[in-house]
Amino acid sequence: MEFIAEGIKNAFSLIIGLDREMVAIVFLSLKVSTLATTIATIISVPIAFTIALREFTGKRFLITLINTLMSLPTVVIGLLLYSFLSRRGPLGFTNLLYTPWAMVIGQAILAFPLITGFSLSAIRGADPRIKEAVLALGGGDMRVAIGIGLEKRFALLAAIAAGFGRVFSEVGISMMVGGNIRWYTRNITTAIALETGKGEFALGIALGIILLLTAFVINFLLRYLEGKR
Amino acid sequence: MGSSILAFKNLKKYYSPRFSLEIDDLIFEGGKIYAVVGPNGSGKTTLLKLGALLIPPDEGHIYLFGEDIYRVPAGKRTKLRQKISFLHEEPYLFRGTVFDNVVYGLRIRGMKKKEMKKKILPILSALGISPLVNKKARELSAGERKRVALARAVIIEPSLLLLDEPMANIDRGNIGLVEKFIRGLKEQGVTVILSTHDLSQAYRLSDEIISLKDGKMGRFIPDNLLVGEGVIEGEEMFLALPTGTRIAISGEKREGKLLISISPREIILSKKPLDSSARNSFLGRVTKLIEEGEEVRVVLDVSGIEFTSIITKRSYHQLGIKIGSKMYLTFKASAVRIL
Repeated sequence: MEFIAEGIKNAFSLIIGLDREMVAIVFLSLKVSTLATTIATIISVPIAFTIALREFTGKRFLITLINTLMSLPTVVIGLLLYSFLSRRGPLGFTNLLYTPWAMVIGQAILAFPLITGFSLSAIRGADPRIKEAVLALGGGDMRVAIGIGLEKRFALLAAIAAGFGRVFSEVGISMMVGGNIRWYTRNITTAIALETGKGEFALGIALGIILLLTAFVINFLLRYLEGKR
Repeated sequence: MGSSILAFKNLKKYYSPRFSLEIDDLIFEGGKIYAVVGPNGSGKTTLLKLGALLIPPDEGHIYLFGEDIYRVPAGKRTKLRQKISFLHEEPYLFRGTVFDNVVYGLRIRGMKKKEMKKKILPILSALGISPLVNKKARELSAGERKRVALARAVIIEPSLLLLDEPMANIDRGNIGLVEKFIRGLKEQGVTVILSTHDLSQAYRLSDEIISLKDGKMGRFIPDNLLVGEGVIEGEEMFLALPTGTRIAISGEKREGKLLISISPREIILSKKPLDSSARNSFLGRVTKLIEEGEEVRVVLDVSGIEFTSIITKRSYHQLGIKIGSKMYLTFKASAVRIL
């Protein structure tokens, strides 16, 4: 039991002392996940608007597909991305495997269906009169999207926050295509996995505390946004 | 005779699992006010939304300003659509102030703020909402929201204005104001198509009445349409029917042949004579009972004259009305409208 107490004690001294390696790991996690969420948002939100506002054949199937992909396991994304990025794979020439960029791509793929799905339900939940009001006053599709976006802005932000929360805490993709390389692709989750394996609890616990704190902040934000919409 | 602004031809639109709006031929001419009347679910809103190009028909053609609107390029349709405006029965107001809302259509059209301010003032004052201009739209009452939305629909100077129940939610004190405003639009050459379930309002406001029932157009015949002789006796006026029955009438005194109608919802039925201020009370016998949704249409015979009263299902059950029942019909003199 003593090792746990020891670990927690050392963890706090790492956090308070802003241990250099710990800070680097946290920053990499933040950088990769923020970038991945941003890319996913830029693609997801317009797609969600297009699906919600247009009528086309296969719309229901597409929505079901997106909802299914929302629970895509990270190891499956890791596996697919690995096979594409490995030297023998079709994208092997890019030399992206075991770089932070590979992690960004993988996390963006993970976040994409989540943000699309949540945005879609936010947009579909918007008052149908918004569309009628905009069209009746001479506006086009873009104006309709802006009108709904403004109305549902908190729900859309919540969708993005949910996407970030998911990618920030994932471990499978980062491990498989990032490779957990020290000072390069080691992020919070892969570091915790490694340190635990080594029996070195201090850094693991310190990172775990930070991860939990981040999750807490995101959830707090989500609750706040939920109250707003 | 004005030119055709909007026309429906062989039109079909399914608007509920059970009903479809079917219109073979309907032409709206420029510069007139049309009232679409009919009970709830008769297809009034669907007709207006079709005219506003908010929903496409399932079959048939819509001609707007002479163009077969769903067979012209989308760009042209968007351009023509900018000449029409629509008021929702329960309008949606955007976030922001009343000003932001009213000028929305102008902003889309790229108008400068200075010009907007010039345009907005007379409309707001005509509708009695000038003091609200800087208020947040979401803080308004339902009636205020309706007037703000009306201002928003009108400020873009449409040639065709479609109003879904424009008086619903508007407080009594302002109905006259809004009616006057709508009549003023006609004088400016705007074609107005409005829906209402208030028949007397339809008469007051419109040049033509379009009657809908279960999605079909009908020739418009008001209930309780009666012809008789106007008789003045001192301060009182009556309509003497050929059968001898006399109906008290209020309002402008007229003699000679008169055509009147009585709104069937204003005729009260009771088992015993009512002790009330209403001047008309007759004993009748129930001859027909027709169920209409949550209401029941009761047709009664009063010494050879047919009267129709519409009551709720609940009252129908409470009164225990059957064919052949004897009932008292009571209505105020002011419920009688001279046509």
